[in-house]
Amino acid sequence: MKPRLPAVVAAVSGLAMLAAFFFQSVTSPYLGLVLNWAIIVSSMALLVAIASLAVTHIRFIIDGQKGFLYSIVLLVAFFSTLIIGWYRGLEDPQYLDWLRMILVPVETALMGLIALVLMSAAVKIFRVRGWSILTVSFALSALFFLFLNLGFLRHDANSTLTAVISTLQRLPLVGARGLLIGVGVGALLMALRVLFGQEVARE
Amino acid sequence: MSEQPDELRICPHCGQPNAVYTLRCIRCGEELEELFDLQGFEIGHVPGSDESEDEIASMDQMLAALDESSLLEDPKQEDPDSPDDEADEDGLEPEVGDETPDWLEKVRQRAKAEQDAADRLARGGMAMEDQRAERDREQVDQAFEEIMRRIREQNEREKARRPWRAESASVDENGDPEWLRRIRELQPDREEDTKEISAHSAARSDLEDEWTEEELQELLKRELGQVDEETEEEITAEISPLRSVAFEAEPEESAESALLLPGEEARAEPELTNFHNIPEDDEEAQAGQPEDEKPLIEATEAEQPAQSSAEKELEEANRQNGELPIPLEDRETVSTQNELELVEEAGLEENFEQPAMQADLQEEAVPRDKGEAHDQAEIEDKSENADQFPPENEPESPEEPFQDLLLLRDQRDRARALKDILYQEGRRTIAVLHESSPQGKFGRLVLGLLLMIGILVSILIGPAGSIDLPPQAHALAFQENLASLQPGERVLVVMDYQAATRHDLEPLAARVLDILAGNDIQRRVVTANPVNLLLASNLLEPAQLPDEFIPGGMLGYLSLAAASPPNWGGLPISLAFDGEAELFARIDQVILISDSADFVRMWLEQVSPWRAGIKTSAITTAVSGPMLLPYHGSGQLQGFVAGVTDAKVLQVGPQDLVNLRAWQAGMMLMMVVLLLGMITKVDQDFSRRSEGQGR
Repeated sequence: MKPRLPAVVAAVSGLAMLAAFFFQSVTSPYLGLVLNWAIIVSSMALLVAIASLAVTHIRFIIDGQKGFLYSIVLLVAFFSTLIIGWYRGLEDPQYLDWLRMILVPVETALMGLIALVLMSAAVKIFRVRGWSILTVSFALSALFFLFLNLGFLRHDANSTLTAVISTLQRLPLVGARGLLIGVGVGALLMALRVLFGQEVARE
Repeated sequence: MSEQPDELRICPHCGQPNAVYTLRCIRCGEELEELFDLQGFEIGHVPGSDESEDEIASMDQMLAALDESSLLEDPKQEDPDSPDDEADEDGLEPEVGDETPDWLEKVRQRAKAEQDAADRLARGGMAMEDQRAERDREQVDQAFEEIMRRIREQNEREKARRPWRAESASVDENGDPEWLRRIRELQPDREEDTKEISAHSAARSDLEDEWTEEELQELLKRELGQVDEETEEEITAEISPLRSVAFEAEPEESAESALLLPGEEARAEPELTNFHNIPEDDEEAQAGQPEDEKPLIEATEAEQPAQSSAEKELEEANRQNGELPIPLEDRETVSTQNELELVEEAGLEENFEQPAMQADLQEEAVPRDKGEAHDQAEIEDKSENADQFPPENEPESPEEPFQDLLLLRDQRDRARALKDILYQEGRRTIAVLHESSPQGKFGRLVLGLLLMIGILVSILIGPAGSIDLPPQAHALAFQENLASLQPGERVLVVMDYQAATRHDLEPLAARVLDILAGNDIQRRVVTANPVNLLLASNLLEPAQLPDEFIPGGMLGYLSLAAASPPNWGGLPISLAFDGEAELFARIDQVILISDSADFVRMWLEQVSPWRAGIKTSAITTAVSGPMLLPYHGSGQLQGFVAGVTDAKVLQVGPQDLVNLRAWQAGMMLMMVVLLLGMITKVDQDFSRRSEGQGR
């Protein structure tokens, strides 16, 4: 009975949402109540996750594990932000500027690293994956669209060239649509499994 | 044993040849009485006839003739009415008066004594003959029952051990069994030999089902220990083709038994020596144990005399076929070697679980010289010491056993796969994804430096540049949707982006907010992302926060879109609002400012259906643009602008977003690196091919 309880709860919740969707005028107050319960539970889960993160890094520091300096930085940043924000409040412009001046460069640098990783992956992809349809099509499409978006081509010069480029630029639409259809069908099947109790929670 | 085959006795009743010492005919059951006939006393012999003297009458007939003779009649009983007879007697015989002559009296006494002795002798002979016949009959019955019992037991053992033999017993339309067809497939050039063998096997199969009188007689002789050499040679000659077939079929059988355990292999081996299905009664009686339990070497040694003729026939047959003559022992040796290699192959370099059995097989695998058998004691001694010393013919490399094995391709592949699995035990077979090498680190450093230098140079040298890209349909749709807003309408602006993408989104979002403010359109800025509490001041007034912070992320938006205030009070989420807790009240359009295509997708799939009358458009990055194209095509998304490429639609200069020269330099570096990877791979492949051709 214990392993089936989550499946039963999930199935009942899904059926309730379906009923609320079809009978919205009657069920909307109850639907809002259930969603608020879910918000509260998820918020509490977020707080528990934050506490677990702090405890884990405190344990890293106490045990002296490798990379405990990063744990110190994390805990210092976390508790200082929490304490200062609690003390001065979100409406304090100085506090917001401090956070902005730290957060924006860090995330921008992280984005630059992503670009560097992508470059490294572009070099390695053929050496690791070899010659295949996937790698060759990826390389050709990447080269084509990179060159196309550089702006070196004058689209106004030739109407035929403009039409061809416009057609080629719609190719991502085809791929994205196919991808989204697959995601939608997968989500539908997963929802049906949950509704019919076929998806049992696994430990 | 006798060497005179012409001593067979022909039954006078049915003409069936019988053994010399047989008392009754094995066909008709009549007694063969010549043993007790007396010379000179034949039935129907009349004294004075023209027959030769060799034809003699029996004692009874002789005595009967004497009684009927007138010379031996009593004179007192003579008829008085016969004077002629008296005269004749007076003239021929001396006058004896009333007294019988002495010679006649002696003759009568002797005849009487001999008659009594003949009767006693005849009665004793008959009784003895009946007793011996009864005993022989019992012996025949016992021997037959014993043979049938052994046949049944052997069949039961074979069925219990190897049920696959039932398949081999199936015959085709020509009456050929399955094993014979497989042998013919393996050696089609020996078709004639196999036909003879099949005839023998067919005859044997018939014999197994129905025993003829000759077979019973032979079995009786063997039971009585009276088998002559000629008969045994005939039996051996009949067996030898079958034995040769057994050796020819042995590799295949060995291949099939490759997966057997060594113990099972050793148990299956004696059955090959007993392939002819004729019990070795003499050896078994001497050994006093069942033949299946005998050691293989002893069984082979015991069969050597009987195999001599079969070996000759085998050699002759091999010479006719153009093959080198191989002695029978060598054939066994070759087959045993194959079996040993198969056992080692099945073990695949693993420790042999039964070293004693392996040593026995190795000992049998030692080649023997022609006509020179190994000493039994020496073999036993080597078998005992085989545990201590490794075998001489043990393969050194794992590839050697594959050379002489007769395996099917599937069996070989499976054996290789099993060997590979065992060989790779405890080793790493999957490449480590994050394995870093000094060369990789150096290459990554070079790439990073190249990118940084290129961008810095493009930024520092020359103007920022410009870009002229054609407007996209979704961007034009966004512009038209924005232009369709009338003064006094309300727009909900939802912020959900990170600090890293603020330079790609905020100029566009700021331009949109300016347009809304210029058209006197009311706006309501909300967010569920805490980062946007910090970044909102870039769009709004300095140090201005969004109008509302929605707790719960997408669940909060969904709750506000789907639920209505209940009659019994408010919901917990209403506490997040300063005033009215209706987020979508009097909202005409929604503009999403997000760098995540997933957020836009979830909004369109989860929130928008509850508020179908509200149009939705988005400001997003160029990366998320392609994923939102289908939603624009379906009408769920009125339009969107995506980064630098669509900035022209909102009259935003691309140079206001990024440095276009640095952006173009970065794009070109990406292209160069991609081409460099392809060239490196081509060079690597070419080098490998050159090395392969050089080898």
